[in-house]
Amino acid sequence: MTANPNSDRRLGASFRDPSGFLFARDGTLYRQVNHIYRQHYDQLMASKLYARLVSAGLLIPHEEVDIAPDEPELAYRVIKPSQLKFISYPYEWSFSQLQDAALATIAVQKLALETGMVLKDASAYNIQFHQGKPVLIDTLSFEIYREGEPWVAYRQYCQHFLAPLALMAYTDVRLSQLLRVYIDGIPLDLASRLLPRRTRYGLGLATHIHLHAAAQKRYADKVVSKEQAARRMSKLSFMGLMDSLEGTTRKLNWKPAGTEWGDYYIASASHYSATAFEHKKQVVNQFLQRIQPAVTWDLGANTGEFSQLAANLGSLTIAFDIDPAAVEQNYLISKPKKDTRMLPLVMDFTNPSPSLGWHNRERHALLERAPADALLALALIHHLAISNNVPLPLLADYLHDLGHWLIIEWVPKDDTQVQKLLASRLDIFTGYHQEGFEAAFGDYFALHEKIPLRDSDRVMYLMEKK
Amino acid sequence: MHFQFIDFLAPVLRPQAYLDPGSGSFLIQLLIAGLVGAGFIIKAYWKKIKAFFTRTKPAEETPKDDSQPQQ
Repeated sequence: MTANPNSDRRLGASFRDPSGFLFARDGTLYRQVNHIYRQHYDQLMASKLYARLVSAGLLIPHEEVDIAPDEPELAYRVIKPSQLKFISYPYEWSFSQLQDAALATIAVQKLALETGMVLKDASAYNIQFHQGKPVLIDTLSFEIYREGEPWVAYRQYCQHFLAPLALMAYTDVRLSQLLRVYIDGIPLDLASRLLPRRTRYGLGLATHIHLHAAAQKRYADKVVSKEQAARRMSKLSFMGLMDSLEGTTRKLNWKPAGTEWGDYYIASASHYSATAFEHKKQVVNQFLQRIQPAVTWDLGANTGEFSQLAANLGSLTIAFDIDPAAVEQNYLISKPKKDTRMLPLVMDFTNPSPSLGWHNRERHALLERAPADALLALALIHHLAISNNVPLPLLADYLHDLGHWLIIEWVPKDDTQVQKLLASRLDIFTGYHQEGFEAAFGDYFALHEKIPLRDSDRVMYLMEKK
Repeated sequence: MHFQFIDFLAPVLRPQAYLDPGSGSFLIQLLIAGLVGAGFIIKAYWKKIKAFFTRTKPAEETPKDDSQPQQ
């Protein structure tokens, strides 16, 4: 390719596929469609596949625009996709989010096949959550289907979707974090080793993971013969393969052990009296109404009870929590709501998502996706300041980088939750008191309002970045 | 694990080859597709036969609410 992939305007993750690439201009994201992809792009648009996918909410809509391409000598068209305000990654999704992203990929593939096209990749990074639903964001993922050819993205689907989902369902839900290590999905030999023996007895995982891994190993150093390469796969077999992948994906299931959804997490209501809890809701709502944030990050959202207050105001609300079970429940609660503004994500703020991939530019660190208009830090400060020993000035500095407005709950040392954290350790936190908190945060934020919660020793603050 | 034949099989305007399907993945896919393809045909016909006798249309498949006899 003669293009300059180091162009500053060109996005760091957009270099593998010669069909085109993403670039940013004046704060807007565009996708250049290259001449080499012309035939496929034209078929996508002319076959009504594009219209069908967009109306099914499975593909990000775009408009063709008349602006100068970033690489004119390669360009066929420039398109402007609907702009997303927040990009999330598979290692930040809960089980059902990854499963729904996988099923959306298969649903796209089935519609494509009906119109004589097929997906040429099946990357989990091509899916984003838009208004609560998984949607394909790579318009150039399609190619014209040629009968007889197998699916070029079969391996990618298994590595990006099936392997992590199987590991989460059968081994441990935290293994989704392997996606953070392996940028092109979990190696199938590793998945095969980590999965329990019983997964070898069901047809789906036995073939798509275990047998698949064995075949990869067997042919790792071998060159495929011409006879082998000439083997074809009928369209019915192709559809059978999709049906099998869909069924295997759909059948996977994860629920936190020994719990029922209804009562797994009744928010954190038990730490408050009913009066204090209601008052906290009222204060958070009052602060949110005052600042009207377009994007809100709830940094310790639990199942999203308070995040919902922001989402109800029309704010795109990213509800982070360290606990995959809480994120899962928030997602399942939000999913049936039409056009929800809630996006629950798994995030450990003591070690937030880093920059990953080639040149560390393919996947953005959480900090690169900041700032939010408003941050909610409710019942969070003691977990970071005491459990993780973060001094209050460092915490103020970090939150200052993450957002403009801050709604934060001060949890004093004699609070039962803080006492619980201190029960088994020496109290080395001499600076952890309300005056110290106000002084530390006062260096980074202007303190606008301070409301003690009724029937509680906790205090709510509204602050604005200095 | 390179897919050496793809160059001479692929016509010029074929950008999809940017992904390496992997030799093992390619060959096992043919085998698995043959296996599940047969089941798929039987399943599709069975649905049609059932629909004929129950005089209802086969249910439209929508994401996340039909169960498949897979795995």
